[in-house]
Amino acid sequence: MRRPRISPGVWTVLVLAVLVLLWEWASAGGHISSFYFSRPSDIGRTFLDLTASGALQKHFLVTVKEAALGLLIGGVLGTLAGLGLGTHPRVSTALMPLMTGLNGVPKLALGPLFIIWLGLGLKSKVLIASLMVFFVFAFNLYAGVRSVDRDLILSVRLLGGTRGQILRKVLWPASLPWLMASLRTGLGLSLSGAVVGEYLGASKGLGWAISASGERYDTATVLCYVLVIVVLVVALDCVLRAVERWVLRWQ
Amino acid sequence: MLELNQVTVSYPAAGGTLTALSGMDLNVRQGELVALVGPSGCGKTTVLNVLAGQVKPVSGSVRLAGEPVKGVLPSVGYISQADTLLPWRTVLDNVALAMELRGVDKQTRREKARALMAQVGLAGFEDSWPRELSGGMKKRAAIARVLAVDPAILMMDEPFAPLDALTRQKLQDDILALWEDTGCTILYVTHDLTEAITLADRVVLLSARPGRVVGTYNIDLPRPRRVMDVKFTPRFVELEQTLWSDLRRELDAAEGAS
Repeated sequence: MRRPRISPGVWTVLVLAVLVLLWEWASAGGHISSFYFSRPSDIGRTFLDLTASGALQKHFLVTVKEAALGLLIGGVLGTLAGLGLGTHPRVSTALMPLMTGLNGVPKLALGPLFIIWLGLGLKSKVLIASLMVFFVFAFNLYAGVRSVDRDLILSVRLLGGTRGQILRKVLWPASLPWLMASLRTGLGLSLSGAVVGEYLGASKGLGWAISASGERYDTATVLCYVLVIVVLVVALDCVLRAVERWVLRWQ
Repeated sequence: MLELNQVTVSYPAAGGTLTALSGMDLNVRQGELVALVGPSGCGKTTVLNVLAGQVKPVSGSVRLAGEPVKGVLPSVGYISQADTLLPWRTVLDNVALAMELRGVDKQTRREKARALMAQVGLAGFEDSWPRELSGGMKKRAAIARVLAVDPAILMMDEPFAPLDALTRQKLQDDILALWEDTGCTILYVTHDLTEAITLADRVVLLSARPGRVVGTYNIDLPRPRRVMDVKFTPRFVELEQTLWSDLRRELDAAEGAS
């Protein structure tokens, strides 16, 4: 008889529960200061208050919209750039050093500039988020296209495949694992881009709310919003992993 | 139907050019099964690449059915030793690929692909992924994929080299049966003399690089052939001895040159 195995998900929840209980116990007993570190029950109460007032939903939607648009725009442009560079070796020899250089620019440090150009609203955050993810997609898709088995390309060409058909039926599907990896990396990056963008200058959004609460030493609210972001990233990553398993079921 | 006339091919290489073929003549008649044999690096694959329009000769002419070869020809089916099934397509969609590239509608190509899969012994694996097939089954699928567009000529470049001996023999029998059934023309490149004699009407022996024809041997073994039967006939042994001694000379020459 085999011992029934406990699934890894159960372990994650158990470890989390123990940590939260320890935290609660330590701050209730005065071992750590709940002024600086807050405590789980305070954070829970804050969460309920913020959802009741609708503030959390408002900030949440603002940030999600910025991050989603950033991921979409940066992802699509990055994919096109990666595919284009990957299929045109001579162009890529000329442009890759430029791309590497641009990627080296600290994009978050340019945030204040974008806010000057595009204002405090949505556009500047979308620009930061899409710049963050653009290079991930561009470099990954470039590497993906370059790593396609030459024999596959040759065999499809010998079956009569045109350039366009080879792109659609060989290069694109062969690059899908790289696209999925980019999506998962880009998800976190676009959210950080949006949140940090709001930090730098905004009037709403999770980043702005965190920064504003921090200035009031309201640690419970800060941590509440941080946890919202963490949960969102984990949940979306789970969804993406499921999508990835389906898209790459041939592997 | 296939003519190479004084074809010379050279590639740019480190420190000058590398001549792969020099003044190569080759004629393959309609319905003939010709095996091209030679020491490794003799330009066997180059011959196929020239015929497939992938490599342009420096001089000489290449004609298929009287027409000069300029690019990929729709009437040529090409099978290499590489595993060239697209891993993200089911076996059925792989077999249907050539038809798909030519704009055959989905229903028609799927029906035809199903029939071809049954013909090559892959019925029941339509919805499998290539990774789930054995090496021999992948090769069958690759053959079915090429047969889907009714090629007038099949070019096979050491197609079964990576397979184990038993599978290879089974597939050789299948190729013989296929050729006898369809009457297509086959140009078969191999470094395996036994395989060449077993299959071919004619074996063309190439020299060490730069490749040119050193001898043509008519294989007068009776048809239809079965790999296991033909191998042990006295005539087979006799042919094998003649070809081996000539090939040996080329191998020695190749060694002396390098």
